Amino acid sequence: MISQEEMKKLATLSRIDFTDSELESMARDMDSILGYVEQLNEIEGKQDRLSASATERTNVMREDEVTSPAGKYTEKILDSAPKTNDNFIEVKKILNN
Amino acid sequence: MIDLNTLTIASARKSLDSKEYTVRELVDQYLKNIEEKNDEINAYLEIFSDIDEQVEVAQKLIDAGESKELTGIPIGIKDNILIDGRTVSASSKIIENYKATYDATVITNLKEHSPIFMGRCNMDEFAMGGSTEHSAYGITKNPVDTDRVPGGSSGGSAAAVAANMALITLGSDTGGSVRQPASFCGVVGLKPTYGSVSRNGLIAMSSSLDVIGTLSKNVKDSESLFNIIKGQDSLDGTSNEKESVGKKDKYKIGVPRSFISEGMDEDVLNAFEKDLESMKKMGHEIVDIDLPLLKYSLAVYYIIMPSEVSSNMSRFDGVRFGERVEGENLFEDYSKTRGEKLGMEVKRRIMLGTYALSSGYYDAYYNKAWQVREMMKKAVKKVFEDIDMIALPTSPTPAFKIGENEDPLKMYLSDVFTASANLLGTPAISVPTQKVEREGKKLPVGLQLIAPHFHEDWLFDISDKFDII
Repeated sequence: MISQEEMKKLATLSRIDFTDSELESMARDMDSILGYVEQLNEIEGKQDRLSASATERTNVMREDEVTSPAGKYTEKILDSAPKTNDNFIEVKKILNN
Repeated sequence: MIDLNTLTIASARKSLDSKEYTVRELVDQYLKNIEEKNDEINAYLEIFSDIDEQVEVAQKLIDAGESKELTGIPIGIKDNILIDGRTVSASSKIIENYKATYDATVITNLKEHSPIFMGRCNMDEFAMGGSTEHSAYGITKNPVDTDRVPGGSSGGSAAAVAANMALITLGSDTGGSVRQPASFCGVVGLKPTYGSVSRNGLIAMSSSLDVIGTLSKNVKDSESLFNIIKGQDSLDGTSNEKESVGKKDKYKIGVPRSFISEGMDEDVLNAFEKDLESMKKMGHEIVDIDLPLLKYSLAVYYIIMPSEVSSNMSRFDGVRFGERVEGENLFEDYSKTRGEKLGMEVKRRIMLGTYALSSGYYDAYYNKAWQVREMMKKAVKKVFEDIDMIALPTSPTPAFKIGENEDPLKMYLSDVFTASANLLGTPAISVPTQKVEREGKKLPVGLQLIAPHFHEDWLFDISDKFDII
């Protein structure tokens, strides 16, 4: 059973506002889902998680160069933003006391 | 009157190029269906306002003898694939008015053909769901029986094809979201090999599982569409391409018996047996195989997927794009924006993922799930040394009624046969081969075939020989 305290911690980590009753209802749903996935404990697994597919994947590299001309996407980016100020996206104060 | 029920890309191409009819005439028939049915079905969230211009461009190419395979062909696009300058919302309120700032690679590939982009198709919000009931813009109804769901999350894409509102559509498949709605709506749904189709421009849900897929009325059209959208892309580090291996005269099909029989709907099981008989009559060999790890696929999926979701969804914070709900401080800007603008199913999966990845639980859940995933990959690789393809029903049931699966876990169980192909990365197709009867209505059910990586042509080869009902 996930406690309300733990749910509140998760809500903070997730950056999501929940009412208390939403959190309670979600805790019940999560308990049932987590109860279902716990069947994985039936499996003995010493398999190294990275061993097999590590050899199938390769890194995709490119030169560390800027390829687009300065300002090319500025207007598009600013047009998408909810709040802008000059050529900046405006947000509330980041650093706290 | 063009018979849209039997129309194929090839026959439309022939008729358009030979001037039997014009792009305008073809598109108008689809628009008529949209006008008559979309209010109720809600397959499309938006019909694009520039269809007339697109029609003109396509017709000019045809008149100049420069048509390509899809020139003038009506196509619908799932609301999570970016088309430059057009609204794309992932059926969510959090990016309700977001205009795409670039074309997805699949769209770039399609634009070379000048098809007619009809509109954006409804989906479960951020592709999280199995019924399209979690769209923030209303449900989509199954055109076969409007009391029932079209499946999800690509429910709008499947319904649009089934209701002749587009000849072909694109969807996305993370745990079954192209194949299951294809099965529910009676159309063909393909989930390509992971990496064979670029994810650049697909709004990410679960990055190790997501694949853009195709929906169509017949197998050849899915094959055509797949060949156009696939390809290695430098903008997608997981993309890859491999030469097709060539077809076989006879295939060996494996059936994981123990996995299927547990609690299966009897009608669906009977339909599946009929399909196996059909494949035997076609000359293929049907054998029983044992894959005991398959029964854990949903558990693995419902740990890995929410974990990746919790990470991918963090970009929706009201800062750089989308809606912003103002709070007292920066933290509240985040939490109010996400709290108010995200649907409950999305929030549920974010919370699950956050839990599975949090310290103290990471090993027990996420790490464990990855280990089992690797074990599954190894086991299936071994099985594919001996057989060519795996056959399964696409879904344990036909389309369920709207509102029937309110319990989240119950809804998740409908992915039981489809999630494994996403975990493995293998291509899989759903073909509408049979119908089962429910309350006097005949509902489609799909046969699912799973092939080894990059063996889509084997899937097309067998499934093309079925009579599509």
